[in-house]
Amino acid sequence: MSPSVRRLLRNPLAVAGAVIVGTMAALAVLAPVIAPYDPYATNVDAILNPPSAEHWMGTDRLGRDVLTRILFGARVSLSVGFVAVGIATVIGILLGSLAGFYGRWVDSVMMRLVDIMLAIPTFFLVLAVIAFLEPNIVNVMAVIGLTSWMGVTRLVRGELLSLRQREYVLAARALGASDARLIGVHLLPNGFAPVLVAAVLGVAEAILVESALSFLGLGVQPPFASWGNILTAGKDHIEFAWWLSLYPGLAIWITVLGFNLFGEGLRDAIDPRQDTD
Amino acid sequence: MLFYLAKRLLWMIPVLLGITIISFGVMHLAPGDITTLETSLNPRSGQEARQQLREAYNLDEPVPVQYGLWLKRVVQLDFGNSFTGANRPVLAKLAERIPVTLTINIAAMVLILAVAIPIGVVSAVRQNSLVDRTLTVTVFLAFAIPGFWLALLLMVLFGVHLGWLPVSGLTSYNFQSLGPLEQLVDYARHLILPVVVSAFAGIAGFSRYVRSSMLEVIRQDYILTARAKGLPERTVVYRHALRNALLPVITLLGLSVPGLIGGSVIFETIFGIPGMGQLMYEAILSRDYPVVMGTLVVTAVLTLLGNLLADLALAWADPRVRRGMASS
Repeated sequence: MSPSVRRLLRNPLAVAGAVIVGTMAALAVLAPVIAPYDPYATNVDAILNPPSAEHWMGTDRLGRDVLTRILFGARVSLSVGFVAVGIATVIGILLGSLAGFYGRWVDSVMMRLVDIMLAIPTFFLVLAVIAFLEPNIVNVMAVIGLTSWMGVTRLVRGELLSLRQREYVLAARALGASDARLIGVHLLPNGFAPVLVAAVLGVAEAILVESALSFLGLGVQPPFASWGNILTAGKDHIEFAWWLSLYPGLAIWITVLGFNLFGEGLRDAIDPRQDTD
Repeated sequence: MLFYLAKRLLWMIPVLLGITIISFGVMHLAPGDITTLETSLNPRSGQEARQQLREAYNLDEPVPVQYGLWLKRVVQLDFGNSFTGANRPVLAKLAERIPVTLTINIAAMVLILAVAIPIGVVSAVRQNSLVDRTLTVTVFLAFAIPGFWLALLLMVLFGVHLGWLPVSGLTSYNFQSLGPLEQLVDYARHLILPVVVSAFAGIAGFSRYVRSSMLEVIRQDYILTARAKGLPERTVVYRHALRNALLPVITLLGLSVPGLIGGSVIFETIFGIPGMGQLMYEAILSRDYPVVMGTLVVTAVLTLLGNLLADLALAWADPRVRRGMASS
C-alpha cells in the first residue's frame, strides 16, 4: 500500500467521508431496486402523511412516498455533481495546461479570463443563464460546469509553470517529444493529486448549487424528484409537515459533508507537509 | 500607494470589458432571439415590450454592433427601463436595493471575522487537543449545511415556534409609528436571521483557513525566537503570530465577496428582503431582461471593488507588499 493510501485510511474523518460517499452512490444506483414505491405514483389516500411503518419519511401533498423521492433525488444530485465537475475539470486541465506550458501571452490571456470569471458572482451568472435557457437537468449540469473551472485551471497552470523547465522535461523535449506528449505524459500526471482533491470538493459545491437552484424552482423541474425541489414543497407546509423539509435537507447535508471530509482527507494524505491534522 | 491604486484601477478595465462581453453573451444564449422567447413565455407582455426590447438591444443590427451600442449605454450607467411595474429605469431600481444587500453582507463579514478568528486561533494553538478536534468536526458539519435549509429551520424555530424574531421583510408593519431608537432595534431584529445564515458557511470556511495559516506561522523561526527570549505565550500568539497569520485572510475576504453576494439571492428570497438578490430572482421569473442584465453587471462591478479594497487593505497591512509594489 502506498504511504498516501495508508495515511488516508488512518484518518477517521476521511474514512467516514469515503463511507458516506460510497453509500450515497450505492443508494443512487440501486434506487429503482430498493425504493419501496414508484417516485411518481400519487396516492389520494395518503396525502401529507407523517412518517409511519409504510412511509418511513412520510408522504408529500400528492401522496408520493418521500423516502422513494429522496432515493431518486440522490441520482439527480450525484449525477449533476459528477457531470458538472467533469466538465469543469476538463476545461480547467485544458486551459491550465495551455497557460502553464506556453506561458507568456497565452498565460496572460488565460489568467485574465480566470479573473473575469472570478469577478462575476457565479450564482448570479448561473441564474441569468438559466433565465435565458430552459431549466432542466442537462442545462443545470452544463451551467455549473462552465462556471466552476477556474480553480482547476489555476492548479494545473501552477504545477506546469513550476515543472516545465525541469531537466527531465528538457531531456524529453530534446529527444523530440511533441508538446502534447510533454504535457500529457510528462507534466500533467504530476498535477493529478491536487486536481483530484479539487474535483472531490467540487462535487460537494456543485450539489449545493444544484439543490439551491432546484429549491428556487430554476433547477430540476417537478415531477422529477430532486432534493432541492422536495424542499421547495416542504417550505409551503413547513408548519405541520416537517418531514418534507427535514429529510431532503439532511440528505444534502450528509452528502456534502461526505464529499468534504473525503476531499480534505485526500488533501492531507497527499500532502503530508501541511500536517493540518 | 497612489501609483499602485492607479495601476490596479487600470487593470480593472480589461476585466470589466470581459464581464460585459460575458453578460452580453449570456443574453444571446437564448434559442432564437430574446423577443420571441419573451413573448412565447409571457404572452401578457405583447407587442409593446417586444418593440422596446428590439430598440433597447438594437436587435436589428449585427451582433458586434449590438454589443458596442449596449456597452456605450452601460458605460453611462444606462441599463434601460424595467419591463415590469412602472417601467422605472433599471439603475433606479438597483440603487434602492444595493444598500440593503451591502448592509447584510458587511454585517455578515464582521460576524464571520468575529467568530472565525478566535475559533481558528484556539484550534491552531491547541492543535490536536480535544478542543481542536471538537471544533474541527463542528466546522465540517457547519460548512456542509445547505444555507437555504438552515434558513428554513431557523425561521421555524425562532420565528414560528419561539416567536423571538421576525421572519420576513426588513421592518415591522408599524415601523412608521416607532421612535428612532425603536426603529433601529426593529431593523436590527429583522436582520439577525439573514445575517447569521449568510455568515454561517463563511465562519466555517474562514476558521479552517485561520487555523492552517496560524499553524504555518507558529512553526517559523521568529516565533521560536520570541518564545526563547521569554515573551509570555499570549504575546507570542496574539502580537507576533496572529498578525502575520491574518494577512492571507484579507485576500480571502476579497475573494469571498462574490459568494456572499451570490448567496443573497437565496436568503433575500426566503426572508423576503428587498435587496439585489430578490430583485434578480423576481426579474428572472418575470423575464425582465434589462433588470437581469443590469444586476449581473452591477454585482460583478461590486465584486471587483471588493477585491480592490482587499488588495489595498493588504498593502496597508503588509509592508512587504508595499515594497514589492514600489519596485514593480
